[in-house]
Amino acid sequence: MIESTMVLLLALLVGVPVAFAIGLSALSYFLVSGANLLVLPQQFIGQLSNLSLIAVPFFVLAGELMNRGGVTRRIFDFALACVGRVPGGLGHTNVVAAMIFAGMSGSAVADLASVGKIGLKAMRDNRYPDDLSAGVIISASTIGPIIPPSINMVIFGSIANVPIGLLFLGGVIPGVVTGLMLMLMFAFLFWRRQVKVQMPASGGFWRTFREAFWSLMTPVVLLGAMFSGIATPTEAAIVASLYTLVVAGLVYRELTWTMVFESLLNTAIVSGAILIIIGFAAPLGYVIAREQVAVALSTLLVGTFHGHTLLLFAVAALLLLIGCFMEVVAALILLTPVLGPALMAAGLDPIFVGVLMVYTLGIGLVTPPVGLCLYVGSQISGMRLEKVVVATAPFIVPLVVTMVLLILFPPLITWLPEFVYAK
Amino acid sequence: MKSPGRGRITLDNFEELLAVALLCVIGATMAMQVCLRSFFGAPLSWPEELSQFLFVWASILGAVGAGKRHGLVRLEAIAERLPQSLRAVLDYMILLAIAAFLAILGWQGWQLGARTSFTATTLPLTWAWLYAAAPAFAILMVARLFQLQVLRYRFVFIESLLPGGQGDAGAGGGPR
Repeated sequence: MIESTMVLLLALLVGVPVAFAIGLSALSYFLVSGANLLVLPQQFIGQLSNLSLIAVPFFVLAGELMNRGGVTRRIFDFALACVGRVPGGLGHTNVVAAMIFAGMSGSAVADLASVGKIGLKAMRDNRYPDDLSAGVIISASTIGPIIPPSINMVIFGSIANVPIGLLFLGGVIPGVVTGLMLMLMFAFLFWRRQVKVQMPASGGFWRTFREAFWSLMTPVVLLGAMFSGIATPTEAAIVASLYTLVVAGLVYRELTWTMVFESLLNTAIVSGAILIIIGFAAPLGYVIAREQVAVALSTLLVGTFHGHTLLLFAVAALLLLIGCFMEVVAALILLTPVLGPALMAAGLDPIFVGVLMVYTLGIGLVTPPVGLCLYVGSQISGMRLEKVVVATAPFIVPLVVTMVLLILFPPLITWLPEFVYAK
Repeated sequence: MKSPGRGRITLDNFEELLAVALLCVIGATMAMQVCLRSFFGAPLSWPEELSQFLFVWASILGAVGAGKRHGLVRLEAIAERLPQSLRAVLDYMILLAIAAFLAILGWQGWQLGARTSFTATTLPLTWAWLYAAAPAFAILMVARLFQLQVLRYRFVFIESLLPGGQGDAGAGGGPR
């Protein structure tokens, strides 16, 4: 096991693609321990044939179609009509739009590349300081993988065998709390700096609501299909894609066949890159199970940190640290087979563990040096990466505060799934 | 500049085009299954299993598409700080390690497929069709990485030929 850990760390550090670094790590264990090498393809293919994972490309596709089909712009206009008139309204608009978009796409980068891009332009047009604008759009994108649907929760659920529908429900309240916390921080920064901005022109609540109505129905269709029993989470992802296709193509008439093809192509490529990491995580998961690493880790954690709260703070600190240095999805795929069972064995609720892991690792999207959203934010805004890092830093505070609240008050995660399940 | 021929475009993009086609079939069959089950109370027995088979192939083909576009997720913080000459050597070593790993994966996958007689529950197929994805992935990925890194082949990506195409594949919105 030590040799495979060394291989994994070394391979990651020298820049081997994460999927192959994980594969090489598992292979080194098989070679050293003399285990049957047939397990390697068997686990790899077995993992990829998990039906739940089909949700991943279709949630990506839904996001792609929304970006290209005018859905995002309508959502932004509606959010602007809702909160745009309060002081610093465009910052709040961004957060609200990100929350609504998160209810449809499930990806932080999709959030940032769509809502964030539109929001930044609006803020620049209305003379908002660039750093404040970049900070709020980048941090608001982290809500994407928290409010359902969430691709990261699909990944956690399929690896840890936890019901994805319940994980989705567990993310609703943390997502809303995060949004409110980010709005509070933006309001504070806006007030402290005494920023003078123009009042943005809004199209009026009812008009923008009517225009965005079919887009706003996406989460209703998605969650409704799932929780009424019409569709499984996997099928719901397909329903969401088809619904977006119909709304953007037939209702808004903004989607061309070329755009649909581009969306499908991008989906196939982006999903393929993620799915092979998940595939190769299976042989490594086999190694971890064979060596009983999760059991040993659970014993160590429970023995070292007395009480769930202390244990969770220690794990959260570790996840925050790892999130700084590792791409979030890769970290989630690598850590779920180790930490997930260990925390569940320590008596923690699987839904709580899943949502907390997704949430805490998600903060890594905005922490340097490997914060993917920082890079995308720098690309979108044209600002230097160092400036983007500084601009985003104050907004990490509300994210961490929310994480602390989730640890101290687990019902923020578990109440809604229990309530719906009890019904 | 001479425009690339249809044959070259197809050859340069066939993995991702196949992946797109497979995703469309998966979407269509699963959507049909939801309709048949929810509105007619008459679900079919095979769409889930068919989707499972096609999804494995769509995943590996999409991954090869990502590999061609330098789209595989990796940590570059340390590697990109190395001097150019050392980086080039390191890139070749990484390619060799990946090729060796994929050779083992491919060979073992082939062996596994040859030994498998386990039949799908609802389709006239054995699991060998699933396991065949492992050697196919190994061969295609090694070939494409070799083209890219050793032969310095310049792929003509289909997205760059579309009207208004920016060749933005992989930059849109991944599951992060």
